[in-house]
Amino acid sequence: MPAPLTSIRTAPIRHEVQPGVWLDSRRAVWLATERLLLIADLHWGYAASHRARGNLVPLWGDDEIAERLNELVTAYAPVEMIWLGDVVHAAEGGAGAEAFIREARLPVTLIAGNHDRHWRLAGVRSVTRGRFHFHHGDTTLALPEGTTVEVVGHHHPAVSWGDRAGSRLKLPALVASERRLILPAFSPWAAGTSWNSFLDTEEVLWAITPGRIFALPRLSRPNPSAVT
Amino acid sequence: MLSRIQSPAIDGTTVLAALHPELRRWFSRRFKTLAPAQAIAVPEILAGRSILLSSPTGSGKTLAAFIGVFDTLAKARDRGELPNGTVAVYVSPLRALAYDLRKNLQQPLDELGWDWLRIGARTGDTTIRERAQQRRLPPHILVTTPESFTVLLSQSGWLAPFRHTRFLILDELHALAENKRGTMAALAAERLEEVARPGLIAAPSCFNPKSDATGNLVLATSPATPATPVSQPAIPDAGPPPPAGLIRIGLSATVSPLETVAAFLVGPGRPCRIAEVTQTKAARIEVFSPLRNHAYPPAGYTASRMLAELGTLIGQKRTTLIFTNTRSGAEHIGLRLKQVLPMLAGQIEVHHASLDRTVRLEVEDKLKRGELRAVVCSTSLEMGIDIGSIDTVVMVSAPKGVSRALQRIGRSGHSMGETSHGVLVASNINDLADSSVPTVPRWYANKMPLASGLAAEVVNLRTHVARRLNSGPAADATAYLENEYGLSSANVRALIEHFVLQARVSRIPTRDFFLVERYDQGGYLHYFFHSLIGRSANDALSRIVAQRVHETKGGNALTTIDDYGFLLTLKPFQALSEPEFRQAFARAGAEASLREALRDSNLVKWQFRGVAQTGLMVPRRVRGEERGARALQWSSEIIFEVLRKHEPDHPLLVEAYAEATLRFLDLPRALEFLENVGNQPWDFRVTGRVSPFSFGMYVSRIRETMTLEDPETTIERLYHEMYGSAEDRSNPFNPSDLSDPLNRSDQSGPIATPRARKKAR
Repeated sequence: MPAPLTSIRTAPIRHEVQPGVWLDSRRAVWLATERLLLIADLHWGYAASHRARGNLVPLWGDDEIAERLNELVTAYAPVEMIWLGDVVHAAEGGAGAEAFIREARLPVTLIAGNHDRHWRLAGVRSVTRGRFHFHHGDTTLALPEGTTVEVVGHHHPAVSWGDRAGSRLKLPALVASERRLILPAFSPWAAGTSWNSFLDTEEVLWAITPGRIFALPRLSRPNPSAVT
Repeated sequence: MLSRIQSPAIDGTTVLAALHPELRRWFSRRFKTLAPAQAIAVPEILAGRSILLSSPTGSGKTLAAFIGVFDTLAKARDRGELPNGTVAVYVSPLRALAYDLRKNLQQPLDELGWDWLRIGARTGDTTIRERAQQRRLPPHILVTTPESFTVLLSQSGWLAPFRHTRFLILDELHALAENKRGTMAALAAERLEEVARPGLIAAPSCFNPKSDATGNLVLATSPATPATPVSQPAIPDAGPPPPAGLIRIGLSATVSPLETVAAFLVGPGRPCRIAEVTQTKAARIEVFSPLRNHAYPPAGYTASRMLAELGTLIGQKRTTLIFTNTRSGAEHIGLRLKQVLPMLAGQIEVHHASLDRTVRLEVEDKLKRGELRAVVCSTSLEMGIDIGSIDTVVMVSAPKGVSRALQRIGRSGHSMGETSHGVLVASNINDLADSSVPTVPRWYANKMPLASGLAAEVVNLRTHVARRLNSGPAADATAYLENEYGLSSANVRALIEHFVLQARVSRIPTRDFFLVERYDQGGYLHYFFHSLIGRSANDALSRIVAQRVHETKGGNALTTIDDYGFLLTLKPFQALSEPEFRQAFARAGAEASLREALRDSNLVKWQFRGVAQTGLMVPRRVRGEERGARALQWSSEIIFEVLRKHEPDHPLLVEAYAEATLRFLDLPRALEFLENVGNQPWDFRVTGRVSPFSFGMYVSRIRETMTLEDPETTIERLYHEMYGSAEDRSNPFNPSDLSDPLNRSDQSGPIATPRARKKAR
């Protein structure tokens, strides 16, 4: 199931999750020192790809992606934008992405994701900028000499949140540590994978909500279920 | 336009005399006289009138419908006017029924020696070769289902054969009238009405429609049929020509109200006769419970006891038909029975709709030939398939609704006059109370009560037992159950134990008051409402109440529904006092509360899935390939969200809401309950443990999340709960979220990300 289609239209907020690393509520990461804007898992043409396969879904999504990207570019004026793979959902849905790249007034670096395999503009496997090493995250790559932080997408991390009395939420999230960043999916269709129980010890899960970005507190032990 | 007929318009001898001589001779030889259902229906059909015939299974109503068809065809043949087209279309909701009927019609035709009359079946099971053959040589009598009929009407090659159609027979009309397949059949009927030129074939017989002042048929002359002049009875008067439209014949075993179904049969503005033939058939119904003396047996005990008892029963009877409520249940019991009865393993079969066609047909044929000792089935054999030799029907777990139980039991001793023998197997204590109720003789009337009648009868049982337990020794209650419900003393002991324990922990809910139990546990408040109004009414009621809890206290709710009531699981901040709950049960504004509760509900989304598929907005097949359940669900959910945002008054959305409130939920009955509960005393109890009557709800895994709160409010509430409280327990981040039974809701399911979907492929 896709995420609810209600798009976020309150004033965007951002939070500095590590020195110089900002999480924007529009599901993007801003590296302030390097002036890099990072976006993962855009899945351009999700609807078009499905329609090409006979799943007659409404053409929706690409406009929202383009609009959000333009807002971010205007807000941050980055020197470069890096798309961390799964740029398109399938090759049939590439038109929106291609149009955006053609008209973009800044360099857009494309990293190839597993979904980009048959797309003619599929990018490179990985790139390095300063201490950061970027790749899609569908395979394990060793950190090249001189880099200390691995930045990936692919997993669509999210937070599951509920009170076990009828309230259940799933919020997009960023997984962050000194050594690794896993970005939330940018696609409005992505519901996300619940990351609550996948965290490594030094990692922090940052939940993104329209009005608040906050770190998930770590549980000392799993909650015993209330009723059996 | 709709008129009831009480007695045959014309006596049987005259009717028979008017038939084609070969048909008359065959009939007299085979049956002597017309059965009551035939006597009343045949003259009407011969006069060219549409009729709804309601009579029990085995009363000869199928033949009643076809006598006129046979007569028309034979006389047309004598005149040399036998058309190369389809004169009668017979529509059945069941493929198996269509197959069965073809076979049953073939037998009379073989006996008549009418090899010139072609019968063809057209269902999803029809082979490509048969289809091609039918196109070349259209059957005079077409046996089909609503779906196949609809498809045929859209094929230009079938328009010519359908121009000859004069009769449209809809069987098991009660099963069709209640759902979308019925709508499909009705639409197809109207299209047939457009295509057909009934004047192409002469009126069925010598009876022309003419009514006297009271609306009764009188004899009238027919145009002389040259080939059969001798058979003409003395006829006083020439009447007007028959009506031009189709003759629609509706057949139904159990149906009410008849007028509504008759109007459905003929469509708006057309006349229809209604004939109801009642025949009382003796039924012997027993309740068997493996529970015996104890209401709460150890795990595994019930199943093995039940199988042993079933084995004994099958050994004693000629043929036993065992109904279960699910297909998997049928497979499971079938397998276990073969293990329990290795000697009879070859004579025990399973029948359900998921089986391959050839397997199904083989089982049906074997059953009819009396070669099987037992067949375990789901609902697939419930309707009027002729399953001759069955002498006992067993129902495992209570069928929810008396009419269903009786229809199933009616399958045994199928020929009229034989006694139906039914055994209801109650596998848990609530089933036992349920099953006890249909055994009451007064329930075995011909007209079926509403399913909710069962709930009312359970209230009745509880009320009577409670009064006796309160006022006297347990022996009084025991005697009452034994005498009134004819239960074995072992079953009575189990029931009494259940009741006594309920009285000890809480109180036995009766019709005199409304019982609400509150049980606090692990930071949750469980409110059990003993509203005995059936599952779908409780579903509507629980949504109304949850919505009002949200309006007064905020937050969301978790509900569990049951036939016997519902459970609301709340957080402590949502605790309601008795007066507050009384307000939550106010009748005023209940419809609006439900509408609001459904706004973001998954229920409407689920309904939309079916509606969108029926409405062809979400195709089941793409380029000849069946799409998976997941793809169907996914497409319909996206379309649902987009329509809700951009076209909220889309007809398919409106239909989904209507389905949810009128079909899935029983709003009228919930409203009736609210109407009454305001004037009733309430007993609001806090219990130290879950009471026996509430236990079923408490352990049910089918819980539904009622999302009523705005998500941003939920975020803020949970955020402050999280940072406002140091207590670990109230921490809303819960990794075990999805495996927790409290959070296991039937609509959730893991939400697939593109990555997860890819992996799954």
